[in-house]
Amino acid sequence: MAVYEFRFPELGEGLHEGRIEKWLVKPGDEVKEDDVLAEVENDKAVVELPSPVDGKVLNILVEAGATATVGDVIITFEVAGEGNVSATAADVKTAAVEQAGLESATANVDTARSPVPAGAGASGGATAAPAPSAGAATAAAGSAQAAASGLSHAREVLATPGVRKLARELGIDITQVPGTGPNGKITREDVETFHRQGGVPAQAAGAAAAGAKAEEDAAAGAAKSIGAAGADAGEAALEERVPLPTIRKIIAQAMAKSKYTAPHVTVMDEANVTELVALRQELKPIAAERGVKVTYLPFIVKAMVAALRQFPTLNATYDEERQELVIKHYYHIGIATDTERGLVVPVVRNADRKNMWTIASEIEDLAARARSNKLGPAEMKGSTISITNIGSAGGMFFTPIINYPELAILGVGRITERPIMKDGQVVGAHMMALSLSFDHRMIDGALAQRFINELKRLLENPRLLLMEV
Amino acid sequence: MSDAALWPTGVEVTWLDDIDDGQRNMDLDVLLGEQVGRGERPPMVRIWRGPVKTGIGLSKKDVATDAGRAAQAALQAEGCTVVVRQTGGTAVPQGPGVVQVSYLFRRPATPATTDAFYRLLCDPLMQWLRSLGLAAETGELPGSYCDGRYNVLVGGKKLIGTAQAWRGGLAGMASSRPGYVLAHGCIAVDADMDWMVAQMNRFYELAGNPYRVDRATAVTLRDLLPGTLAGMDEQAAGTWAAQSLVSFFRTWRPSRENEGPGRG
Repeated sequence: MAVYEFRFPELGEGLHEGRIEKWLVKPGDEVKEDDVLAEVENDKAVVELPSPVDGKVLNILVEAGATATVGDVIITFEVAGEGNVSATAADVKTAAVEQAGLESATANVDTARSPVPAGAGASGGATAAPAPSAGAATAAAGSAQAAASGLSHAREVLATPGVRKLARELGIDITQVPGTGPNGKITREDVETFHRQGGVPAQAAGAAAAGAKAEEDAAAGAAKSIGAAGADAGEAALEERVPLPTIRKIIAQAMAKSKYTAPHVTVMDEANVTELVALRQELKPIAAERGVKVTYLPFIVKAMVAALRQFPTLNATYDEERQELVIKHYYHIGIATDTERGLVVPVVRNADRKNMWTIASEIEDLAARARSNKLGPAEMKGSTISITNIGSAGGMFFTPIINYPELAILGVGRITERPIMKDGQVVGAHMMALSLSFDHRMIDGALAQRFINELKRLLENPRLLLMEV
Repeated sequence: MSDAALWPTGVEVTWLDDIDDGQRNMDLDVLLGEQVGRGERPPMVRIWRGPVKTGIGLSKKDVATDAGRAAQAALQAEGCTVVVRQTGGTAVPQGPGVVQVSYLFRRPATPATTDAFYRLLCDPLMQWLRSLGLAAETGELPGSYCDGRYNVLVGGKKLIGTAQAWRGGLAGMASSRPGYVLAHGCIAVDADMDWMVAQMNRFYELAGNPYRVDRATAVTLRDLLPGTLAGMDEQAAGTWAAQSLVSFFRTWRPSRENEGPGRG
């Protein structure tokens, strides 16, 4: 008996994740090849994952409702004969992807073809209990893959498994092959042409001449890839190339698009929130009774909606093609939330129609689910303006980047208690730092300042906020 | 593999619908798909009109919860036809003026992505629209019903929604459960989108789901081609479009040189 790991296959191009909607098997179940294991939804495609093997389900490693990343081991089986955990991570992943009838588009495993056996391979008639054995095997495969990614170029390559195999057979690093197919896909012809031309990219001829066939050891492979990257070998040895998770790639694209598209200006101001601090203290026990945690955010959301009603230009988008301002008469407030995976922006919808308690509990729920990666895509879409709060981490003023195509974003900084002058007297006050970035194509500075003045007026007199629905 | 290589040989283009029974109409995709998977009938492009009684089509996920099922029942009690489809996503319009194109192909044993099937579906639909004088593109449109990367948009508004389901095992491997790929496009030829969107939003409201559709993102073929559809009611408009699509697909083949447009 041996262990077979099934890895999450690539379902769509550029989509490196998918949500496991439902498991149709459970540990202990006997499955036959082609029995459906799970339903996955990605880009509106519901895809049943058929089992590549006959065997018994040992472990399900990604629970239903969670998102799996391409290449993650999602389920393990006990199978008769040979399993696949003693193979290299690259082989396993390619095999899993091929067996699912889906296309692998991630290249970094291909560069990691060093013949390193996973130390804790479970295929040798292991006598350990199934669960720990599978766990050990997973860990081994995981570390093999981690080692592999250290050597990888972390560049995405579109190529069919057949083309990848051809490249391997010819001893070619497929990440060096220029693709001429759609979206840069590498075709069989591309690999053959590359091989005829000596199998090296022009700029890396020197390094490759000293370099090696694919059968050579991993160190040679690493040297080749460093050489090919054109970096100084000494410094490169002290660098680390970390493949980005999908969410970070999305954040990178979104931030660049916003900053390059919308000319940003940021106005900064302070609100004296002494009364708000007191009011929140008052509300805490009531909130606790209701099981709601009241932060300052619900107050800021309410103040923002009230101010937007007066200055609707900030709750809008710019239709460049038609040269029109599209004003939204609904108020969906994006709340930028820091998670372990990166920044996500869940949305409090129709905030104008909700009271403070509802907003508070919604924010709490959205933030908790954002952190446990349980938010649906629809819950992170459609905001009309956003709030980002660095105050909890300690900063004051900053220049937030607009959640494009929105026109403005409010950055909330720390509340500091400090002396201020009031009516000729030095008094203690709680001051909240506010930074509003806006798209200067549609919004001028004076308008932005008037908006922030209104926001301040409401935050400084929080009882006015209670008049808002 | 090129997208075109996924187009099977011997594709049958069939107009097959049951407009008196919305759910059966929808379930025909499954029945036919399973037959295609088992090799009992050739791979097919099914053209079909929605049910005479208008309403909405939900995904299985939409009605996976008790609240979702209760919302479905509530809408049905109010006279809105609610059918459940096999593909992913969210609610879509349903009615005799909503025409659907379903690809029912054997699940390929060779590697493929959902994108390839989306392109293979959107490409001809955009060509068909071009033949009617309309410039279309694919892309996301936040706020549109059943939004995704492969909406077909005309003038920046959503005319066609697409979705997929890959069921069963891999074809061509002596599988015990030969599967099929359903790639599906839903064309709003003529429909009261005010009412449809209101029904969708009402469903999600009742289901306790914060998702909402923005009416302003939707457009129908009648909005775009008022002259062509003049004098036709919804069903006649649907029938006209279905006929036109059948003729179009009977001659259309994917280009082997050009593997399709870039991603939407």
